[in-house]
Amino acid sequence: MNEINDNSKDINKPILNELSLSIEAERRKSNRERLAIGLSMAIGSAAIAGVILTGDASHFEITKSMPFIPLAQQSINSLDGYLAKFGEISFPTVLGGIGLTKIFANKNSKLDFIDKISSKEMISDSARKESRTKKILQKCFAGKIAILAAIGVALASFSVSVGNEVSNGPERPIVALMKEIPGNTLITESSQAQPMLDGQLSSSLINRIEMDAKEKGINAIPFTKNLGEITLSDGKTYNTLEFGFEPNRTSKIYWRVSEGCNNIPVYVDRSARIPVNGNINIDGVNANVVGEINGYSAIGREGVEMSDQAMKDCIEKDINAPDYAIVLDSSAKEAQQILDESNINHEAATVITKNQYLNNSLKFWEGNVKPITNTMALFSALFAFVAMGASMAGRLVRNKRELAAMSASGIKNNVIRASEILRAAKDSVIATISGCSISLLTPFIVNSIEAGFRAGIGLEELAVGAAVGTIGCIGGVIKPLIRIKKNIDVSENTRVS
Amino acid sequence: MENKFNFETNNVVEISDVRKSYMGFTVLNGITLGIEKSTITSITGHSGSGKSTLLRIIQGIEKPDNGEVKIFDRKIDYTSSSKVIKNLIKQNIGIGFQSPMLMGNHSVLDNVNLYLEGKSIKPDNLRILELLSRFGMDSQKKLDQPASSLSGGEQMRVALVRALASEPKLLLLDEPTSAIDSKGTQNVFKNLREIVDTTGTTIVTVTHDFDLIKDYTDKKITIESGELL
Repeated sequence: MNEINDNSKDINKPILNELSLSIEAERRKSNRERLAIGLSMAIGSAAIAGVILTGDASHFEITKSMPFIPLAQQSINSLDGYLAKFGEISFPTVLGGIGLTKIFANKNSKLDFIDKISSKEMISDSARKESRTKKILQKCFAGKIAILAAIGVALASFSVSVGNEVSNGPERPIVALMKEIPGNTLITESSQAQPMLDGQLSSSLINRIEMDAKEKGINAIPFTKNLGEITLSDGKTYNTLEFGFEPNRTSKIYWRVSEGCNNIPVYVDRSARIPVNGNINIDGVNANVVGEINGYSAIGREGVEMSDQAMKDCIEKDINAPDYAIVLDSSAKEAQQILDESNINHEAATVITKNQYLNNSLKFWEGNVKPITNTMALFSALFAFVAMGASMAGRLVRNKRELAAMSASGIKNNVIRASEILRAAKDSVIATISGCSISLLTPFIVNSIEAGFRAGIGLEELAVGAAVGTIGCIGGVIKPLIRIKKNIDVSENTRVS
Repeated sequence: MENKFNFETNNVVEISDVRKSYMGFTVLNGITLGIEKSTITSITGHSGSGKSTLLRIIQGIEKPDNGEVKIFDRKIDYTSSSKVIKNLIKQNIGIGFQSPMLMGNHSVLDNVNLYLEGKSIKPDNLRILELLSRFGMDSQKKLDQPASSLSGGEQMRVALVRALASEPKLLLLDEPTSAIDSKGTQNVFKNLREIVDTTGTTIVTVTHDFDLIKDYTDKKITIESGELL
């Protein structure tokens, strides 16, 4: 006690008083600021709640019209292709690189160091006992699954899968239809004809073309197109894309016309899950499902088959009504000749091939949808990149003392860099495998929640996922590793804290 | 001789007028000393006296503001990206830090072996096991254990073995027995003495407990307020 009393003589009370006043003033200032911030938040909260409750915010939307940049669209549309090519090369290269490192690590001390250091975290706050799975992961890869990167891989793979289905899916019923009609040449209103665009050829022109073709011994089948609706007995409805034509008698979709047209026999795509013998209503006409077809549906549109005659009888098609197009089993040159001879009224009509018709459809969907889904894939890659970069930066911070000790002990920074890059490579492989495995499940989910949707995961989608995994994991670690001296300050990090 | 190391020299470390300040506070104020070959030199002093800073300057981790440091007759150039120092350290200097700085998830053996392999040195299993045995870390169970599961004293011993594993000509240790009891401390230094006597290596160690190790050291350097006493 005496000692304390003795020391108290040295304390400069005026300075302490001044310091105390200064601390009190600072505290008051801090309290005032906190009160102001709290009040602002409370007022903001009340204002937002008021706007929502009064419904004034129901039309709130942030949007911005931007000039269309064709080059940007072209670039983004090519993205999945580039990523797929990159992934096809990167994944086997990275996997092979890891394999070679492991093979030569038995003979080379430095490679042994790089492989072992990159196989597990240096320090960990998790349970000490390692599971068998973790031990296997350590033997093969980096000891754990890079979850965020795996999500990035799965998202990218899924985005491309959806993009491909949205772009290519609408072609599916058209391809099925075109297979049923013999011939490769179409006469349509416009060279840009495609299922999503209406078009018509007059009945007189169609008749003249049919007659002219018949004289030349060429098979000609006109067809109509309609965007209609199916109503089930329980009131559930589906949109339909309907084509009517007179098929070849050997076609599987040929059937006899039923009397009175009260119960037209139809085949419905199995994705609608309408049971055989089920009764439905198509555009006001009762129909009976006599069987299933497969691969005739597109997104939100169910494929239904019926004959042209059935349409005429049951949907009461006016014989003077225009048709959509006519398919000729001839060369384009012959079709052009027939059109020239038949088109005496100079109607808008042109000759295109079936492939042109399909390509028009593909271009339409690619132009409208693919930029969006590819942008999603790009964001997935950025997500993986940023996530892995943050993960790597976090790991450097976590291990900075151990890494600084290595550096101070004479292990070269390039060796440390190599081990961290190999760790990222291992992360990329396991993230690709995990992410792609997740993405393989996504078609089962999305295809069951959207009628006619048939997203699929193939090599291209998996390769895009692999590219995202590689770019995300390895790309993400490059920045912190380039600045390794800044991130790992040997002087600072080897001091006892 | 200017650009090469002379491992035959008797003056393993020569320090001339080394000064170091942190944020205007003088830590070392003109230290000049020499360390002779095949000796154990102890640097002692109160907390904050500058003894660890002096050792870290010799280790090449800290850069002096003034003065010169020669190791094996070679002046250390702290400005040349420390490549020279690193190459020297890689083969010839063993470093022990104030804390063990082990890789907690890796086993005891990996902590020693990987440091060697990272420096392209093939581990000599027999020698490493002998060293671990010397410092009481020889049970099979301990060798395979993750370092994080060891006690603080055991971790310091592993760190000591890690520093000795490359057969360094100079061993620079910063309080290597700070987490070890007095009996263990004497045992560690008894073994270090034997290593010096049999291999001819040179040891510089910072310590708080000089009395415990005085029987095993050749020279005591005391620093007070940044100056030699």
